[in-house]
Amino acid sequence: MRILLFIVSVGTIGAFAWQTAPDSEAPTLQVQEHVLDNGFTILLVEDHRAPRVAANLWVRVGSMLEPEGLHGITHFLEHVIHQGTTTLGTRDLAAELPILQEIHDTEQEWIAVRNRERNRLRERDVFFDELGWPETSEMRALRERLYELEDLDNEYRDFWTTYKWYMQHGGFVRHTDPVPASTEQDYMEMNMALPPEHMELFFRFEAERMTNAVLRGWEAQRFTVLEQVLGGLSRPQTRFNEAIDGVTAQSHPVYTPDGGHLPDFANFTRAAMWRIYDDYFVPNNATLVLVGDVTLDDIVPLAQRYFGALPRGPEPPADLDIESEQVPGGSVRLDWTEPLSPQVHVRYRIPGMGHPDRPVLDLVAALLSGPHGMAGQALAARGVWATVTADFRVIHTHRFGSPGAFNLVAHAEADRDLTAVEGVLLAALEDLREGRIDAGALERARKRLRVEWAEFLDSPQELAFLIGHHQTMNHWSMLPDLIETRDAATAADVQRVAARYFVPSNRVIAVARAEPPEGSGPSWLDFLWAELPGDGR
Amino acid sequence: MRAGGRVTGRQAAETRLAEMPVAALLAAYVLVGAATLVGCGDGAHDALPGRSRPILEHDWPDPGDLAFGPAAFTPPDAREAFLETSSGTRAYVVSGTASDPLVRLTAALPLGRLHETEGEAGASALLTRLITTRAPAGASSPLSLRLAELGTSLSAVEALDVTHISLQVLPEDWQAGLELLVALVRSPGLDAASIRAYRAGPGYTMPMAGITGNGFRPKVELERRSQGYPLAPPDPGTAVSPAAVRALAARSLAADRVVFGVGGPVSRDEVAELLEAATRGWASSRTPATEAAALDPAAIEPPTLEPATTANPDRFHAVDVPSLEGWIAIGRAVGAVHESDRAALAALRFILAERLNIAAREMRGLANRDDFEIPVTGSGAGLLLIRTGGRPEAVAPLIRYSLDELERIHDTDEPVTAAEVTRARGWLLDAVWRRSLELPTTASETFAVEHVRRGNTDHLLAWPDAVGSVTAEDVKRVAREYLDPSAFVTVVAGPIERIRAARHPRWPVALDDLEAELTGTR
Repeated sequence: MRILLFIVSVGTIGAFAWQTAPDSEAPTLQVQEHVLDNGFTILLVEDHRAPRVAANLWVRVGSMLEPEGLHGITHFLEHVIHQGTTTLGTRDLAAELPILQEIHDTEQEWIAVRNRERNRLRERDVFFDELGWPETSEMRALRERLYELEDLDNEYRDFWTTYKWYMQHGGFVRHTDPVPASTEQDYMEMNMALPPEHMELFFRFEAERMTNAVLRGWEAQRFTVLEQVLGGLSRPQTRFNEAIDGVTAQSHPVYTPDGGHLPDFANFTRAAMWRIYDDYFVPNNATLVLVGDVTLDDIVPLAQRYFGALPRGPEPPADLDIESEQVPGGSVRLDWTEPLSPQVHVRYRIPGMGHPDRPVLDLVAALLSGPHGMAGQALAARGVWATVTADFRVIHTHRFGSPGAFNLVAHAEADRDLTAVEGVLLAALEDLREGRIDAGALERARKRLRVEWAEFLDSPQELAFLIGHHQTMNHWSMLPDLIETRDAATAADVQRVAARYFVPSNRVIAVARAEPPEGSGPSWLDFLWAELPGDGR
Repeated sequence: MRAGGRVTGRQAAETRLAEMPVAALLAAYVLVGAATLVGCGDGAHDALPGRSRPILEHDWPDPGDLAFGPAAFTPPDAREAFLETSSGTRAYVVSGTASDPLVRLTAALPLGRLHETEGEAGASALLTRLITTRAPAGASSPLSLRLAELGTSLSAVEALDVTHISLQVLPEDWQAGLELLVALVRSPGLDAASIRAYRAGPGYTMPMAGITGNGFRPKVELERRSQGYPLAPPDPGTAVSPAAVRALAARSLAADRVVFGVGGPVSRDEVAELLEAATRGWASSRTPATEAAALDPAAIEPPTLEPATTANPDRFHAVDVPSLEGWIAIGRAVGAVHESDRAALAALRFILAERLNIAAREMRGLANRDDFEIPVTGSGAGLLLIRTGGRPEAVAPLIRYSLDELERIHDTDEPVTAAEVTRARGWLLDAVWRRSLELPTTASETFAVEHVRRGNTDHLLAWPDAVGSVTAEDVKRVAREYLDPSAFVTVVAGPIERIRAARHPRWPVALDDLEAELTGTR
């Protein structure tokens, strides 16, 4: 067991003085780190302004490790582990166990039949669609049996158990979804903000969720998760964004939708899910981040009692850490044929968080964004109206320890403006490369970043999320380093970074129009329903 | 490089098993299963079926047996925070400590559909956009540039009876931020050209983005089809005259109507001094505050429908929108809610939402969410609404099971449990109410909005007592009064023909059958 105390100065951040360092006006961010013998890490930031604690449990697992054919299964796992454990969400585990055994057996039989049928097709040497694997009556019958068994198991369940306990005790989730968790490319996190007097609930529930989850309600949740994916895809903007991700890089899994591929929803198995759970849900692969009205003395006994009881596991497979080099080789252009609000995206591939250039890219994004950013000013000077934003989004996430993206996006009023808008965006980027940087815009960008950081500091939930995200990518200390470095970045730094990354061979340009010249073709639904899992039609 | 190239020992085992004859597989699994069941019999289970790691044996308590310490929360003193300038402008200043990292500045405005008179439909939304998107061309606008120099932007939250606009600034910038906010609200720039330019742009549309928000398509359709409900959003492109916008602004953006909230490391006296100067000469509204709301909530009456046993064509509407999934709104209008029903209705909202989510999502996987909401207005007027949605084959069962839950909570013989009420009370107080007042930034905003909505903060601060006294019988009583299923209208928006043709493999409810049941017309 080790206890470390870090006091990191973030003196450039305005008047923030959460924990004021003695004899100094420099405000500090005080992170206390405590590691249990089994490798479970606790990071605590004390914030006694309000009686609430934001708790964020991070597991280093995510969609980037998923093999072909199982895209989306980690997010699916997130939903299923919220269906209960050996002691939570059940009214009679002993009665459930024979049913769970039969579910396991039936699924194994389904896997065997599926593999047999696929091999049989291959051996016949006939044409078949790789995406359209047949579903036989035998497979359908086994699936029906799985449904029946799940209905039978439901007789012994208590639904939504941990969520109900959390709500009763004043729990507040970071987002509004009924599962208090999220899964992206490189993490899964469970979050809940509770009054400090109710904190033991979090330790009790999340420790058990990490080790004794039961895959109940699996078939129902398969469709709930599918609904989330469809809910995203039903928005034209999501379809466009995913297409941009699809053409950005040749191979890196960070650009694969974390929600998964629709045909894979027919192929998920509990067996594959257990592999992820058993490999990655070990205390030495997890970090608990707490921000709020508690002390380490309050927390360590709880952590020791619950998470301390979990045995250290083997080192999780390092698939998540694989980094692929981007392959330069020319600008990519995507002309979207589905009607959408007129917009231009200019994207450049950039390194992940932790790279020394990333803090400067934060400043570049703020420098270009908004009506008074450099791009907005250039558009106004040309008499063209468009809103301009710059961010680092890939799929849904903005921060990665893996290669990421810098996106400069302009939404125009009309299709006819798009050519001019694209020209202005590229010219603004060229200005950065050439060092033509407006001093006023640079100062406003720095102020914007300081306010953004203060907003994180004012919200324990957002701060816990930010610390956990950086810890999962590498180490939490990256965060204050990032804040300090970007605040100190100069115009020369901006020019250097722009010259390095904003080059045509590293670029994707995507354009969508309200009235695409080639017409929109069939509805997305025509494709979508054709690719849904067989039993979903 | 893909992450999927690795083949683990277990994957290899699965592959080998797949190559075995099915009969041999079954035999092997029967043996495994029998072994597990032996463990089950004596209460010592090593592992769950299919898992490689053993079950962790522990002595952790049942959550119901956990002993929690006492709550320690006292909300900020609203009376101490309140101030009024000589022009009649009110404000709540919740001073934090030096450790608060920023200051939130809020202007709560009496804008929203409930404040619009005849001919002003859409004027509130237009006015809000005129304030928040001042001079979109940007570079030449001093106010817009000032916002950028403060490193901030405006955010607006619009409800039927209050709109609040906020910005967040660093502590050293609070004076500049507050002066800017006052200027934006006090002088919104209502020349006809600005108004027409706005109308020529995006117009008053409520784009649908998922299931949340006012733009949820079936909700808008339901509002427009509900007789006796005057709060439906106007049709896209509806013209609002400059005169109507100015009239609403004269009533709502007056010194004695706007309430400010200031929360963070600021001095109350300094805020009072600045506001006094910034609001000097700002005209008051000529309308007494008690008459400010243009529309009497009591005038809102749900359409009269026959009892549930009788079909009525108004109880179901299908709107064909081929590009959407199947989205569903099941709702009814409600007028002013009696004060004594408020807390019980809030508890009922929580309980029904929980039941809906369990029925639709947790048990059946039909939808990502199935929620129930009640109006968030001072009078309680608005819509009682179930909102959900899913793929075509899920639509009809979603309606079926949602209506079943509505019936169940309305049914005299189906109890609301004490456990449900306890959960609702805990969530309403320790999560929603408490969180809205925990930090200076949130408390100042909450006070300002509450003052515009109800004229003071008394209701807000008495809320814990009201919620704490709610019983299961109270919840059942308001369920009986407000949730009569016969008064609810179902609207489906989506690819209707696909939805009609689809059948869910596990719950094959047909939309045509449901429609026939509700309307008697098919």
